[in-house]
Amino acid sequence: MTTAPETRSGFDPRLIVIAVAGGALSGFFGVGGGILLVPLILLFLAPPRRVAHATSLGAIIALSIAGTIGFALSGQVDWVVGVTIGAGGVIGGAVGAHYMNRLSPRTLRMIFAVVLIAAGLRMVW
Amino acid sequence: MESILDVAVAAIIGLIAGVASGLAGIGGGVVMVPAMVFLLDFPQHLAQGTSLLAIVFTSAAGTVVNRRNANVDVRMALTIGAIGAVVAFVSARLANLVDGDLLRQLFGALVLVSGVRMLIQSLRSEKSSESEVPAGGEDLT
Repeated sequence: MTTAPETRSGFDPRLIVIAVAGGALSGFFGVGGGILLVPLILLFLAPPRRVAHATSLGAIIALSIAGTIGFALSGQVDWVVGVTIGAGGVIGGAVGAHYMNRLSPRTLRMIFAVVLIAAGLRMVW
Repeated sequence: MESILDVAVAAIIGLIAGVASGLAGIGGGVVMVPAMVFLLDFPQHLAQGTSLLAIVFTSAAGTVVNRRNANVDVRMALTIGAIGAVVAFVSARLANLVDGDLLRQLFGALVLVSGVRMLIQSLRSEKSSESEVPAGGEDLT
């Protein structure tokens, strides 16, 4: 008779796995952590892809604030540069999202990929 | 103290990282940290801490838009955010105990993996030419 909304009221322990993995990556490397959060959310909870992306980004607000404090305690945050990059990022993100619907970003993706590979190699060696 | 030039370079780094995440589905941090290391001569730790500060703004702005489109599972985001924040804080403290050169090399491996993954995705989407699905990739936020 009582089909209680158990999925909504119950706590899903897999959320802990997702949070620990994403938080560890984000804090240690100074990135958002979406590279782990999005696939783990999709794997465990199977929401629509856009919901996984949006929910991951929402959680990243908290992760990045906590990580910023963690680095700031060692004096490893440049506040002026960080705010400036953040402002540029907000503008650039809006521009990028706008054009994503109009053109195929395939070539650009490939260029970014090559640049990343080159940067990664140079950082490793 | 930052020079005017540094701030101008920072603005450009932000713009490029933003366009990269919006257009090419790649995360901000993986672009911003190497950019700060190579273009601003930042030590690895400073680049990572500063990257996190920038991500506070970009993730908040993105979430405002996503909330309007009702794509955020607020309950899930709050749970992951609350637990993840504790872990992120501890990880950040740990990272500050690691030697800068080693941290840069580890980060380089992360960048390398992201780049290779992205290359594979873009090559794959080239084959199935008509599919405009963003290459089935996850944003590397």
